[in-house]
Amino acid sequence: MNVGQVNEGKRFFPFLNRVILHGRLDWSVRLRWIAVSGYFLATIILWWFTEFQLPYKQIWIILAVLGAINLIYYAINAIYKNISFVQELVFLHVHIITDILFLTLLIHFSGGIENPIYLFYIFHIVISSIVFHRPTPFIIATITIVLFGALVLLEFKTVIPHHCIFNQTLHGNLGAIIIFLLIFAVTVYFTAYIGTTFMHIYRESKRLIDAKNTQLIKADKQKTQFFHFASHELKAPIIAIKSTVDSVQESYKNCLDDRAQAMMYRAGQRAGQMLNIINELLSLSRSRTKILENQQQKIDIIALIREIIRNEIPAAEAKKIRVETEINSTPIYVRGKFEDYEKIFVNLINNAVRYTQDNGKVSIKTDVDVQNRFFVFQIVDNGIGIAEEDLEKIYNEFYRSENARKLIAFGTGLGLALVKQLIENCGGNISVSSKLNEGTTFRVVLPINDTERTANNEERNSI
Amino acid sequence: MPKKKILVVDDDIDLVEAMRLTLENAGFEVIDAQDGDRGFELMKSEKPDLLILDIMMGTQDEGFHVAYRIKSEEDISDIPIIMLTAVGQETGFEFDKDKDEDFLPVNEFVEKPVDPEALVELVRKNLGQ
Repeated sequence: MNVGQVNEGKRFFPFLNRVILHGRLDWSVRLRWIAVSGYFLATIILWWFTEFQLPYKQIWIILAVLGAINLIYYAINAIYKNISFVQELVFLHVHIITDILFLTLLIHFSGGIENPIYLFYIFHIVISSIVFHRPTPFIIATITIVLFGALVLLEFKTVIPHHCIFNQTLHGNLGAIIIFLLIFAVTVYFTAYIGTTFMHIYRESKRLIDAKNTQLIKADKQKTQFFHFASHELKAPIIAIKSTVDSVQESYKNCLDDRAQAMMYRAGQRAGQMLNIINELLSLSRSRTKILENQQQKIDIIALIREIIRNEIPAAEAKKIRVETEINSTPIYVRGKFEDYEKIFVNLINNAVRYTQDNGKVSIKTDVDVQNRFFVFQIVDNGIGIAEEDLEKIYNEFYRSENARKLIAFGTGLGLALVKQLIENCGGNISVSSKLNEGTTFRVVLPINDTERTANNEERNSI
Repeated sequence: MPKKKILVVDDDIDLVEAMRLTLENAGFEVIDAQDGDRGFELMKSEKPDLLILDIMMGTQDEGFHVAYRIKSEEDISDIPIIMLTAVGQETGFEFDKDKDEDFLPVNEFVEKPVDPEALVELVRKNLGQ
């Protein structure tokens, strides 16, 4: 089928696509089988067990013809999988109109106005209201009312025979017929109105959601493009500078005097700082996009923290800082990206060591909550601390408190912003308490991997 | 012992010059190219002892294509390749030589900037020195 047709279809019927429509056609065929066999069974029971005098033969012929038609529908659906959108719509119209005609015939042979099966018309109105746009459902509603009205009035005028089922005279009472028809007309139109209104709202919101979705996908794409741009375009010059400076320093070691050497060294360091800032900034923006489920893995957080502490010990020893630890002895598992958890704890432990003066103390403690649902990490230092008015700003990007800057000149001011973002991505939270010149306590709570917890409990129970 | 010849392919001329300085100082002969095609030509004609190749040049993965082309040429497929990248994990491009061995037809994979000493060491290692 051609693409133009699809778009045309989409424009007029945003809710419909060929798959849904084809599903509707199949559905319509299935429902018809149920209706035909149900009606047949009901008349068999009536014929066998009751005194009802109905023209059973005619009813069964009608049902047989309808069954045959349904078989044709079924064959068409099975054979022509790739018919166009417009053709499918035409088929659906044919289905509904044919059904209404056959229902009218069945009503005629089943007692006309006396038989409440004319309520079955409503089903057709509801289905057409869902599938078609206005005014089609109203046209179908009108056809229904005209057909049914013609039937009962012709029976009233005895132009066509009336098949009595209750041996009463409802079919011969014009006033009753008019009331019945009026109520029926109101019911049918109102059904069409409710159906189409609801579907209109549905289609409209679907359109809005689709538009928003497209917008989001586009924005996400732009973001990715920005990462590429930033990574390459921002980093390339600084990489060239750093490489050049380092090469010159290394290669002309013997020609440069000490002062020149020192200045080259500093230039290299500054370029390195710049590169760090760019890297951290990119890393932060990237962590804003939550990691996908399939990138997650099971991580033993205890082993990770022990490893990080081991790596941090030399830096602490150089400043004669005492590191006290109280770490769980058995593995505790969390879910997420290894690199993310690594960044979180490297930053926190490294910060504590960096911002504690010589001969200070850092203590690290881990634990789980009573229900074994959360992992708790606490790091306490007796370092420079954070002033109360600075506390709320420490997670801001590029923020570095004044005393932090005094102690250590260089820092990107991105570490804690990244840590907070990563912890939140993992479903945890971080809190801080601090007193200037007395020390700082960071407390991190992270959810424990659920499946692991269940497994652990089972293990315990079995013991 | 004749000087070992190293081909540096990178579109950043300043970076090429920095690496040239380091490598020449360490006793290597350096030739260079600023794009993948020219780099491939030089590989064929000059048959260097080692190739230092940037990934992102004209396109995001030009270096990869060059590396694949080289690996499919019998006479130069054995020349060791050190691949450089300016994009680390920020773009989701994460490489691990051991993990991606089949995928990456290179001997080393390093993130820029490479420290001069580390560069010389890496080159020597891959030359079997």
